[in-house]
This record gives sequence, structure tokens and C-alpha cells, in this order.
Amino acid sequence: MAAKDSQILPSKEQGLFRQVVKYYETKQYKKALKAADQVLKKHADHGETLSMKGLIISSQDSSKKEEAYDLAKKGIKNNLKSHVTWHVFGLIYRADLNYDEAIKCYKNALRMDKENYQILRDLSHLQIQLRDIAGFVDTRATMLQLKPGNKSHWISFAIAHHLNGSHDIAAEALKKYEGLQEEVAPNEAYEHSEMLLYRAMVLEEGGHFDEALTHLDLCQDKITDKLGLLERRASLLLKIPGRAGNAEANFRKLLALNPDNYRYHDGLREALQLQPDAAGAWTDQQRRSLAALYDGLAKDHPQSSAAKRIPLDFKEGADFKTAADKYVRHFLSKGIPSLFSDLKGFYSNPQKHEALGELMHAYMKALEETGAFPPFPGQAEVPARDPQAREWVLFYLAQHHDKLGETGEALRRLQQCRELAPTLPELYAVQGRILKHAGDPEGAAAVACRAESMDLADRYLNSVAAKALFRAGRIEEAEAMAAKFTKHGDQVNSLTEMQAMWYEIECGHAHLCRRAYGKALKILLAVVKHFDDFQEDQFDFHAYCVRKMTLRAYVQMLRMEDSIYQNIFYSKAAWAAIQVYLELHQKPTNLNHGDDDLTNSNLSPEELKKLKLKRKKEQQKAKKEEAAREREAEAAAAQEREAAKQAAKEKGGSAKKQAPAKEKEKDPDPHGEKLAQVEDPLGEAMKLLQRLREYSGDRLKTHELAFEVYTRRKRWVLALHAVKRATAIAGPGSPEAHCMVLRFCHAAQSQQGIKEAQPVVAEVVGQELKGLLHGKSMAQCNEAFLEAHGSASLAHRAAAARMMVLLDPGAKSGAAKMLVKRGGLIGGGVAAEAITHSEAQQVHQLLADELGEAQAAADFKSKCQQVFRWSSYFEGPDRLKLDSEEEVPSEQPEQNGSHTEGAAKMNGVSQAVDKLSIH
Amino acid sequence: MVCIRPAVIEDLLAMQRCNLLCLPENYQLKYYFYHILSWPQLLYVAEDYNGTIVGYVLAKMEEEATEIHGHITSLAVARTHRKLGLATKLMQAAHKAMAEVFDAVYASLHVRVSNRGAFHLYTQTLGYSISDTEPHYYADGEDAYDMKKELKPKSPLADSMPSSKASKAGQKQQQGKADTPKASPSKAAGAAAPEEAKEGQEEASPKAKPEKESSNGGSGSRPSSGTPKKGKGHKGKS
Repeated sequence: MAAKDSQILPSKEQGLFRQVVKYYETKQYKKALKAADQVLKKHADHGETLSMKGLIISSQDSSKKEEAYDLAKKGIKNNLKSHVTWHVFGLIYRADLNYDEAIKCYKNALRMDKENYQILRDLSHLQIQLRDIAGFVDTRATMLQLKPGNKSHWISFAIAHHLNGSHDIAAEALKKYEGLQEEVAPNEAYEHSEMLLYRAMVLEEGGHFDEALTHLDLCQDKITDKLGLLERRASLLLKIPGRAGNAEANFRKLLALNPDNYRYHDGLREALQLQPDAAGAWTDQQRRSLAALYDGLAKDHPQSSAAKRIPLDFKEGADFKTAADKYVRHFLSKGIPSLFSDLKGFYSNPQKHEALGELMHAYMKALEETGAFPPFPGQAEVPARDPQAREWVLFYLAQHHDKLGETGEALRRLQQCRELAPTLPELYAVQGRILKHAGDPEGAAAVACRAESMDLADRYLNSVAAKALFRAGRIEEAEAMAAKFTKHGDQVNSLTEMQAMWYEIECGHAHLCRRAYGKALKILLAVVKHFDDFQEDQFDFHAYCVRKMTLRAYVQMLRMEDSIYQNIFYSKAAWAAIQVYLELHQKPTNLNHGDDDLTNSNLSPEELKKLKLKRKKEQQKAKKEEAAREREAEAAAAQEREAAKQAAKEKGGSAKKQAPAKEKEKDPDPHGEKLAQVEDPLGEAMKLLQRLREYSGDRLKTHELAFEVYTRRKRWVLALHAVKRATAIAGPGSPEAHCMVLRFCHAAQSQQGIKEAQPVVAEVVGQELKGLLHGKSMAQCNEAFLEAHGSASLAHRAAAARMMVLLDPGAKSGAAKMLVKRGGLIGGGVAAEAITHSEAQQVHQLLADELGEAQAAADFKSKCQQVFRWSSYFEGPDRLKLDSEEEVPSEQPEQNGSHTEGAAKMNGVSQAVDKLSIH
Repeated sequence: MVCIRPAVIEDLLAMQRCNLLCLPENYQLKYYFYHILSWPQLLYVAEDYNGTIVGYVLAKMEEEATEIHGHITSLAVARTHRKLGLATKLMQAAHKAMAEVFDAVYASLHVRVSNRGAFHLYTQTLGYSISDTEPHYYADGEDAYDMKKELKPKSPLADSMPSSKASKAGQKQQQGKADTPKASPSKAAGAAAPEEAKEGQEEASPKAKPEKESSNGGSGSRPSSGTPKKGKGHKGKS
């Protein structure tokens, strides 16, 4: 018998094979498998059956991938010429998310059967998923040729050409589709309407604004999305020369429907040519027109807050104050907690925030004296009494002073407010933010927990508390806090499952600070994985949206997916993961619970002992908790299994729908220990950098980390690129850019080796060095930088000091003197001279660690204690002191100023809050 | 102060974040995709002046029901932005779109029987009334009120069929099971066997695994007793 004939089944087995396919399609895998085995009993080498068996196994149980691949390969070997074997191989790859290989298989299958509709369809879905737009266009064209009568093929064909930039062909195809459509049934009205709107989108994006408009006008009766229609018309009119007047009318119509929609306001101003210039400034003429416009809008739409809020942006001086006066009183009377957040944008504009402060203080005075707001300027009429407003003015003032870095004043106002409204959780939430800004994460966590305890049913307060606890390094308490809103207490899993990225990033950072690298990586890489899942999520919608005809949303979804890695959550998680890898590279030993960070620090032996003891306690506690969690999880799993069994019984054993009780696969590395043992941490970091540089290249942090990784890897050209991008983003005069330039030059110059190894690289780098230093020596460069920026800014002096020591390790004490010599110290806030708490912290670390100038560091610290009175880092006198410790009673009484973070339990914290001194 | 506007795809991650911060019932991003790609007009967001999403409404159509109606899947407003009437405005926007774009006769939603704040909003401000009580609707065992609001003047016919109980029961949600996509499961989607291509049936519905919805009104709160529902999602496998 010829080999080929063995692949042709007798009719009985042919019938069986058809059953295999049928059972597979209806997901009756057991029956499908049985039928396949029946075929194979007599025809053990039947390729298509072998392949199908592989496919069934892979669908049934993803853990049997290997076996599935083996069978599919065998199938192909036995029948190379069958499109079935190749298609099936592709399907297995696809289920395994290996799209590139799947496409190859589909293409092979099509070589055997050019016009196989189903394979073409599967291929087209992969092509669009992978954005092989050219291939997608080809495939959809073939499919359309094969079945031009199938209307939906015209839609897919149009999408392909739209994405390919051939808008005209796309619009034509949609027209053709419309022609094929006979009467539109009432239950298809929506789909038809969406198709028409999609055609307008294609025309608009193709630059045919007039045609798009005409199209919309012609079919407006068939469009059910009236609001969408109006919005489209308005923005089309904006784009058509000479139609600005119509655009204005349309936007006014939209504003009548929703006077608070900022986008309609934007459109209206654009129609009236009232946009600011590139620098955000208006001409005087424009300001006058804007004022007139908004006077009118406020009159037309008295309920609209946008009509009153927007003028604050373009009004200046006395006009601003008058308008703000009118605007804010309403919200203070009503007790709207978000008023400050609404206005916080003005705090980069001294004139405006001063005006706001003056208004508030004037209100305060009048409310205290008369119980009413003061009369409006120039008006005699005294407003009605409004005793409630006082607490909201105080609430505003607390945030106002916090923003200006005036922690003491902020807390004083808050205390006054609390006397009026003792039960308002918002006060504690705001206090938490104030303390966070003031550098007291412990205190911030304590008050956030207090707020949470005042309304246990509110998840928002719970989330804020969990976040504050993470920031204070209290990971276990943060987890327990968040777990109140997740089911079994295995919150990490459930929150990860729900893609709670804010949580994961905070948690990852907290672990990073604790140098628990494995745990940090575990949770940070989970965020990275979420984004891969988001990409994957598209897949099912390629076909779905064509059927639902939601084509505008579909195309927008594709575009959003194309840039999804730009999302800040992705950047934050990847940055932190790279930081972990950098630290792992630095200290490859003692990964998880190492105390090496302690021995390196400048702690006295006594303090060291205490800290170690504390850590030990923490670890023991964590272990205990973990054991308890595991027990719980096991119990829960057992329960689930039982329930599943029960359910299966009740359903009369029909295994069809009731998939075998899904036991959660046990995570082989729940704490990321294996992740932390990565052999080449820098290599892993480089993988993350690749995507960051592509999608997060406008963010400084990306290039700072890229620089660290590439210099360690001696990838000079890439490091150079990072220097240049960072300089472009932060500005050539910025401390960040300055340090990177000098560090790069210093490192590259000391790398004599590259000249021999990589002559081309050496030449490029050599040339660039001259440009980066402007022909100066590195020392000259540093001096020029200090000269230009040093007198005004501590951060710049710190950069210069750091570079002095880099260039001359003997210059430490000189650098320290220079650093602290000039300028005073103003804390926080937005004042020009002010430094933030974290800047001060960095300077102190620089003095203490890098420069090793203990005396200078101590002096700086005592200065900072006065400015940052609430700082736990600087041990400020007003920080939250947790000396009512129940954990360390046997110890000596706490020495003044010793760190106690982490040791206090939440109860202790809450008690301590009551004692929080507010000056 | 805050602007209510139709959501766009770029808002989805911010909506998901807002949901996770405010409500105990959470969903994977795919479920938000599913909503906006099925009924793009039924999602609205509340955006503050700094561009932050501080509230949203996620709604859908029950297309296979005897009477075409909309359903509020989830509504949340951040605690920081209360007292501005945002929940009301979001709901009204969704109602309007349901009626205007999809010809919905009424809107429905579920609310925890203990959630007085939300209940008050729905009954007093928005004109909902209780049509049924669903025992143990939520994962922690709490009952839900099934509430309805007419969106169009009742036709005499509509009166005679108060949305059949039978289909109700069928809709009752099981934990972790979908409230929605009734279309064919995804595993088979696009993975139909190679032999016979099926004409015209080009696709299957995305299996976006939804959660139990929460319509917690402006308060975004839940009763303090009992455990909130655990989110159960699915991995985007197809």
C-alpha cells in the first residue's frame, strides 16, 4: 500500500473522523477523544486524526501541551500535504499564544488549500492581532473575493484598508456594504447606525471633511446615536474652512445638553479662535472676548460650574480674585470637600494662590465675627448667616498651607476644623496627606487608619489607609487592611487577579525598600504581566466587533492597545523592577532576609542589635501569618473541591459544562525567591528597558535607569543615548542631566579597553564626549554648572558636590563645605527657594554616606529638624512618636530619637495619633 | 468642577482604578472592554478639572430579554468627590443613552438591601422602584433588590408582562459566572475544527468574564458586616 493511501480512511472511519471534528467543535472532548482513538486503533498513522487528537488534548488540559505538540507533529509527518494537519498545528500554537508560529502553520495550510475559508479567517485574526496590516489587507481581500455576497466581508475589508491608510477604498467598501443592505430591520437599527458613523470616521480621517459632513447629514435619520452625531458634526465643522460659525452653533447646542462638558467648551473656544498660544498665553483682546463669552455662558447655564470655573484660568489680578470669590463661596457653603483639588492647579502661580489665600482668610475673619460671609466687594448686602461654612474654609486652608509647605499652619487649621466637625473622616485623610508631605509616613499611616476606622464600609478610605501603610513600610498591616475587602484573606491573589495595579506597585515598592527583592519582583512583574494580558484581551474582539458593528470603538481600541504600554502603571512597575535588578546586581548574596544592609549602615552596635531583633520578630510573625494563610487556603480549596463535586452531582454528572473543579495551580514560587536568584539581573533589566524606551521614552526616569544599567553593562552607545534623552527631557541645566553627563564622560574615559575592543564605538563616544563637555574638562564643566545654578538651588549644589568627589575622591570635605555653605533652608511647598523633604533627605544621605562628613551631616540634620519638624527621617520634634510600645516592654526605655518604625502595631499607632501634637 | 462625559477607550484603565479604590465588586479590564465594545454609548465618566477620573457608570443592554432594557452594571464616585450630584448625573446620562440610542423601555439594577444611601438615590432621586428581591445575590450572602425604572411612557402592552419571572431566574448570577455574554464560549471561537467551515458564522463572543455588578450609588459603600464579594476573573485565553 502506498504511503499516501494510508491517509485515506475507509468510509466507516471517515464517519468517525467527522464525529471527532463535531465533538471537538461542541467541546465534547471526551467523546471526541474516544472517537479519535477508535480511528487510530485501526489506522495508527492517520495524520489528520493524530493532529485532531493533539488539538483535543491541548484544549482539554493545558498542562499536556507537550503531548499535544508531539501528536500534531506526528500528524504532519504522516500527512505533509494535508491542510488539516497544518491548520491544527497552528491552532495548537495559537492556543499556546505563540502567534508567530501559528501564522506560519496557517500559511502552510493555505498552500495546500488556497481557498479554505476557515483557515483564512483564523489567519486574518492573527494578522490583525499582531498588526501585520499588509498581511491582514491581503487576507481580507482574498476572503472578500471568495465570498463577495457575505456582507460582513465588506466590513472587514473596509477596516483593513482603513488601518492601512487607504481611506478611500475603505469608504467605498462601506458604501458597497450599504448597497447590499436591503431594508434595515428595526432590530438592526443600531448596527446600521454604527456602520454609518464609522463611515463618517473613515472619511474624516481620510481628510474628506466635507464629504463626511454630507454623509452624516444625508443619513441623520438613520443614526440612533444622536449625541454622537452632534459631536461628530461639531468637530467636523471645526475642520472645514469657513464653517467656524456653524461649528460654534453646534458646540452651543452641545453645551445646552451638557454645559459642564469641558470638551464642548474647548470646541466652542476653538471655533471662536480663543485658544491660547503654544506657551498657554492669551492676548488681551482674547481675554476680553473670553470674558464676554463666559459672562454669557454663565447666564445661559446658571447651573454649570464649568462656565464659572474656566474663566479662572484666563483671568488675572483683580479680575481673577473677583471671579474666584464668586466661584468658591458656593462650594464652601455647600461643604464640597473637593474644592481644593479643583483649584490646586493655581498653586504654581503665586499671584493666584495668594489671592485664594487672601479670600479664605477674609472669609474666616467674617465668619468668625458675624457667622456670615463678607459682602461682595462694592456691595453693601451682607450675605445670610452660614455657620457651617467655617469648617469648610478651615478645611480648605489646611490644604492651602500644606501646599505651600507650611505644615504647622496646615495642621493648626485642621485642628480648628476638627473642633467643629470631629467625626469627619475627610479631616484625617487630609491630615494623612499633610504628614506624608512633611516626611512623616508613620504619622500619615496612623491617621489614615483612623479615617478608615470611622467608616469601615467605605473602600476608598480603606484603600487610602492601605497605601499609607505601604508607604510607612508596614507591609503586613497594609495587606491586612486591603484584605478586609477581599474574600478569603489571600488578598494578594485576588487583588492580582483583579489587576489592582496601584496596590501591586505600592506593595512592590515597600518590598524594595525592605530589600525583600524576591517579593518585590514577584508583585512588580505581575503588573508587567497584566499589560501582556491586556494585549491578549483584544483577540476575541476582532470578530466580535464586526458582528456588533461597533467599529468606531473597535478601531479606537486597536489604537489604544498599540500604546497601552505607555500607561504610567506599566512604567512605574517596570522602573521599580529594574531598580530591584540593579540592586541584585550590586549585592548578589544574602538575597531575601539578609542583614547586610544593616552592617553597611552607620548605626551604633546598640541600634544595630535592636534593629536586628526587631527584624527577627517581624520575620517570625510573617512566618506565622503565612502558615496560617496557607492552612486557610488549603481549607478553602478543599471546600471548593467539595462544592464542585456536589455541584457536579446535582447536575446529574454532566461533565460538559462543569469543567473539572478548577484547582488553582499552586504557585511554585509564591515569594519570588527564584526570581531573586536570577543569574543575570542586568540582562533582565535590559529586557524591560527595551519596552520602556519605546513607550516611556518621554519620562526622565526611564533614561536614568537605562543609564545605570547600560554603564554597568559597558554598553556605551546605549548609555550615551540615555544621557542625551535625559538631557533633552530634564534640560541641560538640571542636576539629573549634569550628573549623567559627567558620570558618562568619566566612565567612558576611564575605559581604555574599548579602544582596542570596539574601535568604532570608541570613536563615536570620543566625539560625543567633546560635545557633551563643550570642549571643557570635566572639572571646568562642573565649576561652570555650580557657578550658573549653585547659589539658588541646593539640589544643584548637591549634584555639583557629588561630581566633585567623582572627579577627585580627595575633595570630600571641600564638597561638603560647598554644599552646606550657601543659602538657608526653607521646607516643602512651592516657594522658590524651598526644598522638599525628599530633596533634603537626599542631601543628608549624600553628606553622611557618599561624602562621609559626619559633622556636616549632623549639622544639616539639626537644621532640617527645625524645618521638617514632622519628619521621621530627620527625627523632627513633632513627628509621631510611637513610644507607647507594647512590643518592646522588656527593652530599655526608648532612647530619644531612636527609630521605632515597623515595631508598633496598628493599635499602638492609633493610640499615638491621639497624642499627635499639633502646633 | 467635574465634567460628566461619554467614556472613551482611553478611560478604561482609569475607570478600573476608580472601581478598585471605591467598590468591593471588581472586574478585569476585559470586562470593561466588553462593555465599551458592545455598547459604547452606555459608559460615562466623571472627570475632574485635573483630568482625573473620579467616577463612572458602566451600563449595558439586555438584548435577549423579552423587553429591551438597559442594566446598570456598576456605578462609583470617589469619596473625595461626593456631594456634587455626580452619581445622579452619571445615571441620568446612561438612562438617556439607553432610551435614545438603544430604544430601551426600562433600566434595571441591583443594590444591596442594606445600602441605604444608594437605595435612597435610586428611589427618591432617580425614580427606581423595587421589582423583586434576589436572595443571597452577593457573595457574602446579602440579598439584592432588583430595581427598575421606566424610561418610556408605558404602553398598555408592557403592563401585562412585568418582565417574565422565568427569564429572571435564569439571569440570577452565580458567583464567578457571567452576568452576560451568553454567546458561544470563547475556546471554540475561531478555533473551530478545520474541516467544515461554517458559513457566515465568523465569530463568537469574547468571553469577558464579568463580576457581579455593584450599583452602589454615590456612596461607594457596602455594609460593614460580611465579606465583600471576591473578584473572580478569568485569564484572557481564547
